[in-house]
Amino acid sequence: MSQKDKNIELIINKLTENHRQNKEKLSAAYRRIWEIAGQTHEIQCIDVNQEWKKFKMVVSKQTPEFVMVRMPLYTTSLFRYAAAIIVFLCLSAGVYLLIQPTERQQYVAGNAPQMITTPDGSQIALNAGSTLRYTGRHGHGQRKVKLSGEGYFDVYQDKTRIFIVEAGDLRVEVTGTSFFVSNNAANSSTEVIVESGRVIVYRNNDSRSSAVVLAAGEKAVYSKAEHCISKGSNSDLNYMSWKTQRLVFNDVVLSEAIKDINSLYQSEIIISSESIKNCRITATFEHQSLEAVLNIIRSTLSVEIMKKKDGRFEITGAGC
Amino acid sequence: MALKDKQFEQLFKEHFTGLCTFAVKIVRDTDTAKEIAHDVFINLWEKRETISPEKPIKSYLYTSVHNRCLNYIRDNRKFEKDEQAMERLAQNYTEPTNEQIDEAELESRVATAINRLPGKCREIFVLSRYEDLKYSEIAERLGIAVKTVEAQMSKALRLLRDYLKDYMGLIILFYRIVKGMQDFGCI
Repeated sequence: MSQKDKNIELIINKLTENHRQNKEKLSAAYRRIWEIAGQTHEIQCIDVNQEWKKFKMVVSKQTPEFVMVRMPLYTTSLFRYAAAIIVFLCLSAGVYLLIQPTERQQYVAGNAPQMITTPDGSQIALNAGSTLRYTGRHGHGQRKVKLSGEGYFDVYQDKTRIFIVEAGDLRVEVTGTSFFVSNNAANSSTEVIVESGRVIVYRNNDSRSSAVVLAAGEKAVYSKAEHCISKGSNSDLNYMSWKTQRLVFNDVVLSEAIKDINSLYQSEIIISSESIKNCRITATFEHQSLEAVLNIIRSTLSVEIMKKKDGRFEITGAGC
Repeated sequence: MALKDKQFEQLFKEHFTGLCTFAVKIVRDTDTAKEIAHDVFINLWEKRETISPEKPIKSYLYTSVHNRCLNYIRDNRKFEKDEQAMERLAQNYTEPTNEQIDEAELESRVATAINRLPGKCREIFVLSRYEDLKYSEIAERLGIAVKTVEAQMSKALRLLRDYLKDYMGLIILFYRIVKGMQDFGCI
């Protein structure tokens, strides 16, 4: 019996102590609720009233692409002013803290990904243009870092010290596992993808009341606008390409493949023929140059790839 | 007799979440599940003139969602390596049973109930349910007394049972069925 099961037995026994007559029924009910609770983390982001509004929009055929939803409190002017003041205060506080002689360290990855090893033995790969900062005091029961941009974390297992990543409004908490966090510049959305182990993701400082638990292969997306964390399975095989230099295409359409290629090689490849945009490709590239990758695509799909004077590439073809 | 707008709205609000929960179990992705649930309701909307409100719409909705989910798995190559999904596809081309439907509804009610727990209470419940920690470890992590953790867990269970009063019968019934099957070595 796992610890959490032992945990609940204790509570159930206490709760049913005084119910001699109904004890069995009551215990059964509690146990069942506990069981079901373990299966239900997927519906964090369903606001039925919002969904109904979206639905009404669609069926009344009013601009079906744009869904108008009543804007929540945080965009009213008053809130904006308050938010601006708070941000200013935080920035000032931030600057003040940075000026202090401090044991805190900051890493900034310039044009290329950077590997960092933290004092506890965790490995962090920071993508180009991202920043990592140690916050909090080390060795005090917590390992805390602040991320802006993208990073892959391979956290050293230590149950006595939880590892927390702060990315925008989101907190990611683990004791030892490997996962990826991406926080976009405008802080309007944050993504967490778990490679191994288990990860808890929640909003705001120290409030696990909005927590979502992710297992290996799962992904959570926090949308600031919707103010919620939604969980799903990760279908993007190439989210780690910047670190592994590996691209995997499993029967994907060419347009999607080109997106991943552009992302990894910082190239600009465009497909000018509509007829080949949906051609499917299955291939794995590991530590290949852009030219090698394009060569394989050219011969596999029988398309033409032209390199233009400005360094861009153009793909043309007749069909799949 | 057709389905009036107010009735449709009630139907939507009553079943949307349960349908999503049901769909998520098959397609494993919240956004897809929501889309499928929306599609099913749009479809129903288009037929609302011909539907009589007394008919068992619930099982119709769940069956529709079920079918669309299976189609999604079938058409989406990313499931090819997923043995479980393929098995589901092979076995489940029949309508979902009432048990499966009730189970999904139950799950979505429990999830909603958990979301409604007061802050600290929910936090402790979540930590206890999803981490393999002793109450003493939870207490240490949050900087509170073990007795507080136990008290909050009791509170959480009591509140959950309260929220789910209407479904108690179902909850106990399921427990008996599942336990019975376990005892006989069926599962």
